[in-house]
Amino acid sequence: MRRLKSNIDTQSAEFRSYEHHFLKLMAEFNERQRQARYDRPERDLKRLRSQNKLLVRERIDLLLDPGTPFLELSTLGANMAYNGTVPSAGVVSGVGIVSGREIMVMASDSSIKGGAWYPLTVKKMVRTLDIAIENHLPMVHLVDAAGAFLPLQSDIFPDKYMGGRIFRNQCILSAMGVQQVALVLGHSTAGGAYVPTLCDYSIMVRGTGGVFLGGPPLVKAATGETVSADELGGADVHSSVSGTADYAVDSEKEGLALVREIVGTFPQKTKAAVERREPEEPYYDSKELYGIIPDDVKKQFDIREVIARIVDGSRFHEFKPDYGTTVVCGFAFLYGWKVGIIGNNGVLFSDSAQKCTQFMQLCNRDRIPIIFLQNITGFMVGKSYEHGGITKDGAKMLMVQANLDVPKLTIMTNGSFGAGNYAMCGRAYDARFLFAWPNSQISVMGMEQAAKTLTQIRLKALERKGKTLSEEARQQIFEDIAQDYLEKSSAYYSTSELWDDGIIDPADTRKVLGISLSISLNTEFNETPDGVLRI
Amino acid sequence: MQRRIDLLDKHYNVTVTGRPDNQQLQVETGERLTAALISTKNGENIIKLGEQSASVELAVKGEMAYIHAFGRTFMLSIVDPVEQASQNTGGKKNTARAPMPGIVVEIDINKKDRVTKGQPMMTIESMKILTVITAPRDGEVAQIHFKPGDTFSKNDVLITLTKSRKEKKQEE
Repeated sequence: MRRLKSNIDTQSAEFRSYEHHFLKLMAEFNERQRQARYDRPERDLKRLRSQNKLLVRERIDLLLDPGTPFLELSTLGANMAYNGTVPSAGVVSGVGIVSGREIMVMASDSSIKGGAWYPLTVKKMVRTLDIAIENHLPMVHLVDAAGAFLPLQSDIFPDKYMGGRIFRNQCILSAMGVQQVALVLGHSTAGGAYVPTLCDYSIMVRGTGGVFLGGPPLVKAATGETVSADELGGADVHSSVSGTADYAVDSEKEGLALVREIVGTFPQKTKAAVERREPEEPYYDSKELYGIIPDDVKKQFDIREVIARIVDGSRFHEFKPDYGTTVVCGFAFLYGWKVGIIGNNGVLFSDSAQKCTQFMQLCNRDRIPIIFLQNITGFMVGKSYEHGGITKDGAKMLMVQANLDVPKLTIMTNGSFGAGNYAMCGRAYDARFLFAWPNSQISVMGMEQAAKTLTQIRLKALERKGKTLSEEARQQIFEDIAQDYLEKSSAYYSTSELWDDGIIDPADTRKVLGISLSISLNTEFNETPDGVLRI
Repeated sequence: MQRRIDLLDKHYNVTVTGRPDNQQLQVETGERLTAALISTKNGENIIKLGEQSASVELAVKGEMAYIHAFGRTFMLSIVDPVEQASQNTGGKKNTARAPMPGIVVEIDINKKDRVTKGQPMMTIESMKILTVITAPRDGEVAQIHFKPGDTFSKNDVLITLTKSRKEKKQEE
């Protein structure tokens, strides 16, 4: 396979200025991530310390094999919701190595509102369990949650993908033969009581751990019975009387060590049979990506420069290089695994969409996972393109992409607008993992266009009411709309709403994709029928 | 297995045959000789060709191989076979065409400028995206067909380069 030749001059003024711009974005990203992980009110930290509880990240540190990577998901979930008071959506989830096995960890953060479930907490938990289902990942639940955040219960409880889905997913996992262990570190009340109880193994910490359908206050109110939490559903009651849990331990440390011991008995996964060879570091430095991504989402860059900084040896076999040149398709190796890569180099035309479709079919037939590198403003518009069947060709791309059997991984590198987002395996298309770079933007159309349209609608409505506006007021309306639109298009808003699995440092893209790919090979690929193409 | 090796400004077609433990090497149409590269425990490499043998030092870094032998150092670049073969074919494009309809934003070159392959020549805007048009090959700018602000259709020729010397010769 040939090595890509970079056309980037790292000494050029343009590179320097882009790099300067991106390093500022990185500083902001790192700071936001640090805050989400570590900044907590002193009062909550004191409370936990007085209860002899460890912080969620201390627990995870004790759980994971030392010196192994932890791929944390959606660290900035809920960062723009609830006035920023529920960092990481109140739950830490991610994939790490426990006793030599890839494990999905889901741990409530009781330093935030006692670990209460907000709507986005539930969304993140359901997504975490979905990932475990799709990738046959055994789970460790560190349970320490106060229960649903009552003022928002209607957004937490009733719908298909809300609270009930957590337990439903646990049941599905069990039937699939995917093991689950729970360590109960706090009171699990009502629905939350089912999380440990539906696991194959449940460990409870004496004193702090508790499992009950109704806690002592509810029991008192309902039946008049006075009972302490420990008597009602403490570690010893459940492990020796009711059988609701399997082990009682004296401390969190003991519990975490026991989890490691139990996980160590799980059968090792055999990976799907995908061609593999000796991994090789990329020839080009991944940190150069900071100087490659332009300072404006409108400016185009060559996606091959990104590929060269992700794949083994920067080697890439490009498929159909002279056809449909606004998209780049080709094969590469990532940590020794063969992958297909599809990256945007401009607007999608009929020929580029056809090339993608053909390439995806090749990958699917030869069982090669596909990585999508999104930088897409959409499909080309205009009379000659419609007459040429652009919509039909886009539909073909969607049809094949949606029905692929091979795992898909998506990275949002820059812009993701309109139907291009769908064709390039956006969130709705079941990428096993979808990560975004901090600069990336996502919306149904670009900001300027959308803001102009929205302003016109607003002005017309006001005119109908007989209001006349000064030029200044009109401008103000446009700016307000533009500001709001831009904010809602940002990677931070996107990740806040859990439209992705997290924002990542572009320089880590190779590692993140490597871990994601390894996880997605936990199971042989399905063989599903193909859809009908409008040829 | 045939390889082309460029050494000291000369090309050699080298054919390697035989089993891994008993390889034969033939340069051009010369005699077939037994060849071997033996790495000893103390890190020495001995190269054998027919009856002769010599001690060599070698290192490979990226696409370059450095070989020290016979009192001098040779640098060999490892060229991909596809690339090596493609250099032998002509037919490089003389024009940069519009990949999509749009408007010219900026022109970075002047008529008669020398450009190198991949050099930015013009920035266009289309579908809200700024795209840079680069030189398809090394050459000289013969004509710039549009000026900033002009609109163009897909496949319109934006910039023409002068014909390469090889093409001119062929025409003569």
